[in-house]
Amino acid sequence: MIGFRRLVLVIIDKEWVMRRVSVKVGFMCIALGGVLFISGCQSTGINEGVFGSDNLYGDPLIADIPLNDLDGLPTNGDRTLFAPVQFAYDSSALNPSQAVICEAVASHLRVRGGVILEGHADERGSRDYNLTLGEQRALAVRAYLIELGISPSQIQTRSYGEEKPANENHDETAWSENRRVEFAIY
Amino acid sequence: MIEVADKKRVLSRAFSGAPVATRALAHRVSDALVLAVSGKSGMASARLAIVGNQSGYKELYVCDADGANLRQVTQDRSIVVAPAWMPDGKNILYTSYKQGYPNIYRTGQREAVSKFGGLNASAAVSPDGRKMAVILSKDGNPELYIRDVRTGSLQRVSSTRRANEASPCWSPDGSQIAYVSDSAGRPHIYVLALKGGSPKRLSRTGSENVAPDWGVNGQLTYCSRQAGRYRIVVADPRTGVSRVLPLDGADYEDPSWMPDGRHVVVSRSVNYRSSIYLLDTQEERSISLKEGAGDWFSPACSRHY
Repeated sequence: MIGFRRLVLVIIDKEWVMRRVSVKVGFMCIALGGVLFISGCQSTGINEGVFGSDNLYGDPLIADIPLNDLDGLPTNGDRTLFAPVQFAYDSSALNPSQAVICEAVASHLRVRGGVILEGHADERGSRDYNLTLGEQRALAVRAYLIELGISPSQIQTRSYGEEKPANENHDETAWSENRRVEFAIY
Repeated sequence: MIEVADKKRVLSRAFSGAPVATRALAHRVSDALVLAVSGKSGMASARLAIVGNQSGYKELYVCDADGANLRQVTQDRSIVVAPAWMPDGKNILYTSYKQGYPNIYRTGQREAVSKFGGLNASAAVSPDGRKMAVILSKDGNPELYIRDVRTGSLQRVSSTRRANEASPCWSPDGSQIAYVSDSAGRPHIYVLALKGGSPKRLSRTGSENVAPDWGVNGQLTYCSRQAGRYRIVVADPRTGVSRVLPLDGADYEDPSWMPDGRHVVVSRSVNYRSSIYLLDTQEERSISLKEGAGDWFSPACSRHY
């Protein structure tokens, strides 16, 4: 990933020198190419879906918007409306190919209701650490929803850590299904 | 008890108790003998908090230091995470979802101790009982906070927008906190002096370093993923010198010091079945304390400072 980012920078510099006027268009093409490139890399081996520690989506400053008080908040919702978004091992970076799910959720929330973002981790690692990892995954989705214009008052997070696996097996397939954020819509 | 060599009296004391309390009595006698002979605290009277899933839910249990005398504490039909003893050795703090969200509760008290929006987890009370270290995400990201137990006022300790903090524990004198942070990309153990200064990273190797516990012996123990296995590390926070316990091929996690400063209680997993073991950190041996009838994990040993 580091190498790829450097490459993008170099290309942007070239574009800047060659065609100042269309720099914006060029950058968008490169960004689109980048998304396709990253999506294309997904099925390759152990680092599948690893996007480094930076979240491609979600402004870090959104991490300063406080969460809602729990009093009077619903504690349950419908999890069947949207598929969960999935994450790489020990990562809370939102995968570009999964961002489209968040965009669908945002469209729904623009009309009505609210959502509990339920963060989960796979069974590897300590239960304590997985609890905060699940929370950070839920918060990454929250940041993107806020960026898409959804009010923070419509969003609550709830981390289950490794305590509620979607798939009870102990293999790579189960683990990748379990590293997820579910949308409980109310 | 008389020392044979110089016929010196080492211990002369009477113990009494109800007939039903013979186990507890034997443990007290044992600890008194260990103290008289070695000058160190024994571990026989210690109690363990553990989490078990035999009911289909994750409930809190307590048992004696040898795994006997098991008693179920919670009946919430929910999930209990990360139990930790209060310094009085009587009550236990834990995270539960019994009211829908992960809040912190105390045994013997109905109301939540901490129930902010988002995550309330990993509560650990200081040895003097005055402060509680806790992980909260109420301000938008999981961070380490210290709460004044009496006034309830909160002080935010970490500010890492892109990282997680977890699992705080106190040094025996209450002047430092060890905790987990992945601010360097991977989870590592950090030590923070409360009087000020920046956190010092303690763990150097291993792809994951989690679940620290600071013993009354001044040593930290934590779980480290090394060559694909979870292992127990004992580290000196002053020198940074650490030692990985060379055990069998099982995964060992969640270490908690026994009051003798020599043994740690851990969860040990083989083929994804988890049980509670006692490790001798000097002889590097282990024995089973609680095994079978579901999984047992997250052990915490009571302690007296």
